[in-house]
Amino acid sequence: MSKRERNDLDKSDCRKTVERFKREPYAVFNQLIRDYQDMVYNLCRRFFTATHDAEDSAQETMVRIYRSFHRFQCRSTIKTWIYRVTVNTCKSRLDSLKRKWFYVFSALSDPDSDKPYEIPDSTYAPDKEAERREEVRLVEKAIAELPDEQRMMIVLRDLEGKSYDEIADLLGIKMGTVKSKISRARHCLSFKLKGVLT
Amino acid sequence: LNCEEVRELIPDYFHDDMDEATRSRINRHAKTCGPCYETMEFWRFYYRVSGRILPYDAPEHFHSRVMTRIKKTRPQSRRLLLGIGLAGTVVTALLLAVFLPWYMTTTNKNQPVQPNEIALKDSSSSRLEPQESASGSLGKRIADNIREQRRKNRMKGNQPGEKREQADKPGPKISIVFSLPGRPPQTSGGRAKQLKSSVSDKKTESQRPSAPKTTKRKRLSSRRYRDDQRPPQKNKADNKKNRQRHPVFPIVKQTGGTVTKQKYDDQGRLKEFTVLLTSKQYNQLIIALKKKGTIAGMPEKEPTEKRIQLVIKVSR
Repeated sequence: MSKRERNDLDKSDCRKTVERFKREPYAVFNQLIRDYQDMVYNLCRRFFTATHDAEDSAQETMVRIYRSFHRFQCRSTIKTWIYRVTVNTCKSRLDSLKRKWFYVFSALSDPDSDKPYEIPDSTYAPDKEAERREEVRLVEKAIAELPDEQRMMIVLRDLEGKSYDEIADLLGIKMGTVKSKISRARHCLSFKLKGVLT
Repeated sequence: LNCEEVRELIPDYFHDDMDEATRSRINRHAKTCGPCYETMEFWRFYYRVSGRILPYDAPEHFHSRVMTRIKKTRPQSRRLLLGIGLAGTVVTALLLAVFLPWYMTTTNKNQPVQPNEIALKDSSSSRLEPQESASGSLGKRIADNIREQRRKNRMKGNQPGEKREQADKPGPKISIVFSLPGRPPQTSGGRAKQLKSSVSDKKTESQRPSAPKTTKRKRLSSRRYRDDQRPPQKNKADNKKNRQRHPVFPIVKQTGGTVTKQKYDDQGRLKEFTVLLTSKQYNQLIIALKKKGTIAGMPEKEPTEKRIQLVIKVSR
């Protein structure tokens, strides 16, 4: 099946889903939540260091999706659209949180203990495993300490693996701007991680 | 590729979207350049560690919370919108009901009507009714204004023009008889009575020839008839002198009254004069006149009108 044929199929599927949503919104939306809740929550969790902010943002994203899904015109896939809605919701929430001075401190001293770590393998020695956990924690901390915009760039590029084109499209900015912002964010990140990862 | 370019490209080296040619060039450069190799190792390590960062899974309660939020918020928001809409309509209707009549009346009252328009209207109003002469909305407004103003004037009577008119009105006429001390006061028409009585005296005296003719008048008249001479005519200048000298005028002047009409007899003696006064001035004048002489024919009640026309007859 060619890419174009797959796109057409996706589009027809998308339209069918939207039409069905108009008839029975709760049923369709239930399915949408099941399919995309992890993606939405993970992205929110990357953008926000505090768990409650991430969850609030994820819920807000879902509500937005529910309210505007009937207007979705299927120009992109449902996944891309939901991803875009998530990024926009997180961006607007980050902008609103910027004005709250306590957010900076809560981000730095986040007492979250539910950070994901690799499931310990029996072949690994316990001290080695602890070291690996520490490395992951340090990288996460370094990313979390970045300014909002730079963190968003690093998350989208390095953790989510999005291309420059996709990021430019998602954030609605030029590709040159995306490249320069990512370069600046990486410079900042390498400065933070120098001496830690060596 | 120089070192700076390589260091810029190294992070993308670990992404899939770099073409093979650039990737091999970076590789070649890194093998020969120590600092670039170190940078490459740093980013390799970073991506290895970040690759171990596992994606977060949504918490178990997430789905149910989202569904409850949607079920809760949506009907509420609809109800809220409906409530706001209804409240807005009711408030607007109330405002219209209360303020529209008020606004209409105030705009009618406060419409700037040019003085010349009013003057024109006033001049034409004697001939035409306002509605007949006024045409269009402005004309109607002017007509309404004039009608309203007239109604107010009638009700209050405190307009400046009205005041002036009231001030110009002489007020009710009151007549009194004033006589100087030593002479008995006489009622109106006293002179005629006196003449009548003198004639009757004359008749009675003529009927009684034996009675001696002792009165001055009799003597004067007899002299007049005897000499067949007319009494000497006084010229106008003499009359004026007499008028100014009369002791009543300074009193009137003192009280602030205005003497409007003066009547003199043939001999240039003050017979009657009219004074325009206010009620306050009237009281003052009466008190002053009582001090100077006697007053007869006073009205029983004190006049309450603001302007009084007092006719004082001077008896002799």
